[in-house]
Amino acid sequence: MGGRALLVAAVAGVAAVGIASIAWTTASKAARPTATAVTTPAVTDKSDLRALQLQVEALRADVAARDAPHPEGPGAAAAPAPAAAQAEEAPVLSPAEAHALKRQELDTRVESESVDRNWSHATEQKIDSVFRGGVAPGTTVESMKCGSTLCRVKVQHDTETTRKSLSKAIAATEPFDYGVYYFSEPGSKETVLYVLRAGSMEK
Amino acid sequence: MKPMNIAVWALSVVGLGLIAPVSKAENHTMSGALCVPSTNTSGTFGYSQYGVHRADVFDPRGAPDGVVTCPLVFNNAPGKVISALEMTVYDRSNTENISCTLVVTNLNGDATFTSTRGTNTLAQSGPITFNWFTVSGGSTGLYGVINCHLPYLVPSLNMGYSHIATYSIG
Repeated sequence: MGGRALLVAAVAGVAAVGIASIAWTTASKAARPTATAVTTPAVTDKSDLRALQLQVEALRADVAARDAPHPEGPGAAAAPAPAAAQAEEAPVLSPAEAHALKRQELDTRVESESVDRNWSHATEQKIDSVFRGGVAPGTTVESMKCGSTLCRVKVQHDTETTRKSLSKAIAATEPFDYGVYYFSEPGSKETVLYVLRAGSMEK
Repeated sequence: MKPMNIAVWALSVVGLGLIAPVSKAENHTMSGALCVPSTNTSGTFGYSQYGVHRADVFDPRGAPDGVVTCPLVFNNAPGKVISALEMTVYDRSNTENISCTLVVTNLNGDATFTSTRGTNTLAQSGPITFNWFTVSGGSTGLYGVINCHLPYLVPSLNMGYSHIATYSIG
């Protein structure tokens, strides 16, 4: 019991010295612009704690708002939203931007990752046999490339209807079951698929 | 600064650091009772506090197809990435499995992402959880559903209905 108390006292001592030095540094810096920041009297321990919590929250929101991209264009001069709300909303991309970004990300991945010969060969064969087997009639493979966790497959459709029904036809069929991204345009007769390797964590 | 104040300050900084990331996560858990029979399905379903279950009884001549569609709420954020998606199901069939396909679509109704999870075991009394890990909403994560095939009731097993209890998105 005595040893434990000694250990606790030692840990508390080390922590107190460290924190006191931080507090001293903070107080020195704060003293220049506003003397009140360090001379505000402590009322109770609870109020100190609450005040510190509020300060930490305000600082977090401030840092998040500074890191977030600033809007451009006509709305840029408008009154800013509260910092916390701005931090939540700023990173959201438009559908077109998200679409382009995701495709670019997947394309970079399939081009840059090393090739797992066994998996890529087996997967290419499976993909080929699915389309040749009539799972998605009217759709044919134009090209495909597999790395170690992902395959890019370009397919051609004979009609708009076959393009639209592709996902339903293949979504539960191996090797498409684990996860597939689809990129196509309305009216187009081409779809680019990015097929995830089973068991691989996406992202 | 009093030692007590220093201790309180230190504890609050450490405490806030631990608590803040947890409180930021936003998770919505929904009952399987929100799922509805899919278009063209011939199965019949029941609803209760346990979610949705397949109500058809095993028919050796061929039971009807039983698929439900469970809606997802994307918080109306274009391009939002789903950070967590899971579903809790009960598979009470030895002959069929539960199979669920996540389908994310864009404004045109075209699929931008699909992913399927399923059971592959004999009937179990306990729950099974499907995880879709960190699956992105794809190009435009605007709308999404999970389509699930549920096995029919097998009275001889005396284990009850196969059902979808809950699903959550975050």
